Order: sequence, then C-alpha cells, then structure tokens
Amino acid sequence: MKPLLEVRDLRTTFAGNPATRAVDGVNFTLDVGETLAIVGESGCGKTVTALSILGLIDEPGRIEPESVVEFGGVNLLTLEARELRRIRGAEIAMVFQEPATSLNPVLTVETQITETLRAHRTISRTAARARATDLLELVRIPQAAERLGAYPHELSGGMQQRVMIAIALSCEPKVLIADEPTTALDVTVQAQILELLAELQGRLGMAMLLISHDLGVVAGLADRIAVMYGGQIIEQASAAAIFERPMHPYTEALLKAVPRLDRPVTRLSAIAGSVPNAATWPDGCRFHPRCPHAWDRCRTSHPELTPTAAGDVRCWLTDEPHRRVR
Amino acid sequence: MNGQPLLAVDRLSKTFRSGGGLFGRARTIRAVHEVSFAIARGESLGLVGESGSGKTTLGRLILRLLTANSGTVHFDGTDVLTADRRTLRALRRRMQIVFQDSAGSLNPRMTIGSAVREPMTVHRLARRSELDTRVRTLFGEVGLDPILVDRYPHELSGGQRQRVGIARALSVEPKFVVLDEPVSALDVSVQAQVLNLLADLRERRSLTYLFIAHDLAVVRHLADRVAVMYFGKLVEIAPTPRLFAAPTHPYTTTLLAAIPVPDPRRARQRSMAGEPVGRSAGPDPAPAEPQPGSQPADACPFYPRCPHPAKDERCRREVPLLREIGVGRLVACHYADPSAPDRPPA
Repeated sequence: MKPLLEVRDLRTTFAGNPATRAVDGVNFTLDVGETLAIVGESGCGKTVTALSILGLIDEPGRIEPESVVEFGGVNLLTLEARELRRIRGAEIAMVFQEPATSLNPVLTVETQITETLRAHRTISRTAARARATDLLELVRIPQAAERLGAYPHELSGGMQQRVMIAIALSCEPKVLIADEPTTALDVTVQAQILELLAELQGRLGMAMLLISHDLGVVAGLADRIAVMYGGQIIEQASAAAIFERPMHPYTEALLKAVPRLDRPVTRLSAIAGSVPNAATWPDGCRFHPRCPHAWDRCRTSHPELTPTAAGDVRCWLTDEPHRRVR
Repeated sequence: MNGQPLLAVDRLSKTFRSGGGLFGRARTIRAVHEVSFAIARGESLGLVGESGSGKTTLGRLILRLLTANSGTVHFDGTDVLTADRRTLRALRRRMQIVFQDSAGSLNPRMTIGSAVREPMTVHRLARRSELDTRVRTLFGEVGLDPILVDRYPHELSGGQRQRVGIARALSVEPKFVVLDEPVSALDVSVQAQVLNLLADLRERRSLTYLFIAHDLAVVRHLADRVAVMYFGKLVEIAPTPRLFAAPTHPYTTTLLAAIPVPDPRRARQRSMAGEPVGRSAGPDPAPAEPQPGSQPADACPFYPRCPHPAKDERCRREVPLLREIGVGRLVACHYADPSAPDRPPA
C-alpha cells in the first residue's frame, strides 16, 4: 500500500555565510492512521523538516528543487501557493509549540475556528458556529458554547492549546503535524494534552507526525520513531526497538542521559561536547566528535542510512560491529 | 546538621499587584504565602512546582533580589532582610544565584573571562596580578577550556554559557547557591553534563544548594530533600527517596503521575490499566491568582483539582497547614495518610 505521505531527499538550506544546511537529505514515510515521531535536540532540523512539508519556509530559507513531499499522488513542493493553501490547514494541519503566539489575540475563539472552516468549506455561519461548539467539546473544553466568545488571553495555556488543536482538527485532516505541542505547558497539563491527542487520533483515524525533543512524551504516542542529528535521520525504527535496542550510539547515549523516575539515582551519563551547528556540520559522521566508538573511518567518511532487520541506522558500526567499545 | 541551619526562612510572604491599568481593578496576587523552611549546611534542597507556583519568587526573596512583604530570612544567623548595606554586601558574597537563562544574565558586550573576573574585583578578592590565574582555575573547575576567556557569550553554546554562569557565581567563593532552573534551557545531552558538574562542585566545595526546578526527575538527581510548592505555599517537604516512593500530598501524587516515562511498554501499560498516558486531575492549574468565581479564601488551594477520595467540606473551609507526619516529613493536607505504602517505582 502506498504511504499517505512520503518525504524524499528533503533538503532545506538557509542562505548566509556560510549557508546552513538545516535539513540535509531527509527521507521518511507516514502511513494512514500512524504516528511517527521525529526526535532530536535543538538545531537537529526537526522543526524545519515539519515546516518544509507545508512549504512554510521563508527567505533566506530555500527548499532545494530535488526535494519531494508526496501527498495524495502530488508533490506538494511543486504546487502553486493557492493549491498548497487548499491542502494546508485542511488535509494536513499543524499545531505549534506556543499556543499564545499562534492564536490571534484580538479575535474570539469562535472567529478563529470558523475562519478556518469557512476558508476551506462552503458552510453557513450558523452551521460553522455549531461545528465550532462541537470541536471545543471534542477537545474537552468545558462549557464549550460559552467559551466561544472568549479571547485567547482569557484562557490558560492548556486551554489555548486545546483551541489550537480544535482549529487544526476543524477540517478533519488526514495528517496532523504537532511540533512540540506540550513543551510550553506544565507537566500536569502536558499529560492531559497528550492523552487528548492519543484519544483523538484513535477516534478520527488521522496520521500524526509528532516533533519533540522529549523521549518521554514520544514514548506514549509513537508507533515509529525517527531520531535526527545534524540535519539527518540517523536512526529509524519501531518505538519499542528504539527504546529497547537502540542501534545508533547517539540514540543510546540520549536515552541514558535522560534522568528517569523509574530507575535508581545514579550519576547521569552525559554526552561529551555540544550539539553541532548547521553552518559547520562535522566531516564524516556528524556525531563522530561526540561518539565514544569513533575510529578513522567515522572521521572521514559519511555513513548512509542503512536498512537492518530492526530498522534503519546511519552508522559504520553496522559494517564493523567489532569496533564497538565496551 | 551541625546545630543551626545555614538558611532559615520563616513565614515569608510576597504579594504582587496585577492589572489595574486604565480601567481594570488591580488585583493582589499572593505569589509566596507564609513559607517556612530551613536548609542545613551542605544540604541540597529541591524546590519544585509548576509555573506560577511562586518558586522563582521565593528564590529571589531569599537573596533579597525582591523585597518581601513580611517574614524573615536568616543566613548563618544573620537577618538578611533587614541587613544594612555593608552587611548585605558581605552576605551577597556568600549567597549566590545561577539563572536559567545564562544568555540573558550575562552582559553580551563583556568577554566571558571578564564576566567571571568582575565579581572578584567588586568584592576585592584577589590582587590584580592573581586575577587571570584565578579565572583560568575557575574555567578549569567548571569544564570550560581556558582558551575561551576572550570570547563573548553569543559565541558559546548554551551549555558553555551555563558553565560561565556557574563559574561567575563561584568566583566569590559562596557557601550557598540558589540554582534557578539551571538546566531547563539546555538540551538533554548537555543537561546531564551540567547536572553532573553541579553535583561535583557541591561535593568539592561543600556547597549548600536551593535547587529550583519544574522537572522532578532532574531534582531527584541533585536534592537531599524536596519541597513542593503550589499556589504560593509549600504543600509537602520530604527526604528525596521518600517523596518519590511515597508521596503524601495529593498534588505531589498528581505531579509524579503526570511525568511521562521514556518507555513505550510502561506508557502503554499505564493507559491500559485505565490510567491514561499521564493521569491528571481537574482543570489546568491557573497562574497564582484566584480563579474566576473561585473558592473561598480559606479553602485548600488544591481543592478544585484534588482527586483525594476523602476530600470534603473541611477542605473548603479550612486551609490545611504544614504539619509533621514523620521524620523530616511535612504535609499540608487534612487527609494525607502518613502510613501510605510506598508506591512501586512508576
């Protein structure tokens, strides 16, 4: 079966001196109803990947012409702005990190929901209003009908994010892209929003691309996980495989660096050095300056993402497993 | 604990006025309300809470970076809040702070070497000729390459800048450091480095910490005891292992249950057991202000969200005070059960 969304050789660069290759050859697919999480630290290219899919890259950014984002048989990246707008917000919707900055502060909740509806559907004012109430109920906002008249500042951060989700779901998208949807929220509110996303996804059968830096957040929602480092996917596998048998040394180190409540308190294993900069990716494997296993080959030669039985991994250890330092 | 605690806070309160612009009526917000606790010499006390709980305000009140409305703070026997200029200056040498946002707290036009040197000059702690050596030693101690002394903050990574903030705080050889969300702006891989560094420094320099954070898993790594704050009040204090194994305040329980576990099997088991991906009770926590049409002033602040089965009228009429329920364990809940069995690890 053909995937719902397929990203091939996505490259997004930002002009400058030197130019930054923020996303540098990303490939993945997303099936109907599936949740794929893209995980990584700051500057790894996960958010730029999400924005590129929807063509939301502005000057001095540029999506390289060979890049393909295939959805419903067409390459979204070659569409006219008008055609792309028909898909964006309707068939592929997005929820961002900061609900407070994504919502318009001078418009009521009702206006912001019905605006999206009326942009994509022929629907009467009354019907749009009724639908807005239903959507607020869907995202579990109490007294939905009364909240329609509220302005964003009258709502808490969690409620604002629920409104964002309601707007995103208003046209029943096939794909929901959620970029750090709970990062700005307190942990108890985060739990509620994650629960809501899981439930809605099951009910509406939509696919979700979840972008996050937090492995804990991803663990409860994702079917598959793609780990990004240095503008590329360095490992991709089922969620269970990533957490139980990480193959790439970066994934392994990242899992060990997270303080966890379900493990005894020990000294944390930190990853030496810091995350690389998109203007100056290291030569060879981009993780080699921080990798405990690196040898000459890693310093000079760039590994490709290679399929294995358990998943895809971009590491020379798949070739030379005996090089692994114990 | 050798006798007197290093820091003693007693019934400390701070209110802010909010709103009251052209038309609105100003409201008084109780950011910190009658908070009392002590920190022993060499101890690390974790202070956790969600946004608006008052934890950052509390840290600043202790260092007198904000003026308290009432209450006292004693540092090594000296009254901090009424200290005169000279005494305060001496105190500031011994009580330091590391901020979350090192980019915002460092002067962008000052090299990081100067940033670390400055406090020593201000407090006249070293001869001019010794200053450079001391800066280099401090750099080494916090894991910064001394080659970087002439760099500016924007030329460093977030982790390096946080190390500069730590070196600057340590330059005056304090006894006590308030760490205000010192790792929450850092990437996971770098966060672990800085947490390990803070643990090492504490050991090497016999430091006392007040470690403020919203992330309980992080606090667990660095604190001997944990104080939980909600709506400007301390609701629970306990030795770290006890707090995590057997939380007694319903808010602490809620908070712990909400933390996502980085393990898909566990996360799934929890949802299948009828406990959703993260269990949570009631509406979102509002910022530290009365919720519209809210509860009476004498109600327990957690009342509207409380999932405790025994919750009743008393919780609405009588604010629970912090009471002792075991060795070193305090809780502000009428119905917290000290005999509650330890929870199996999440």
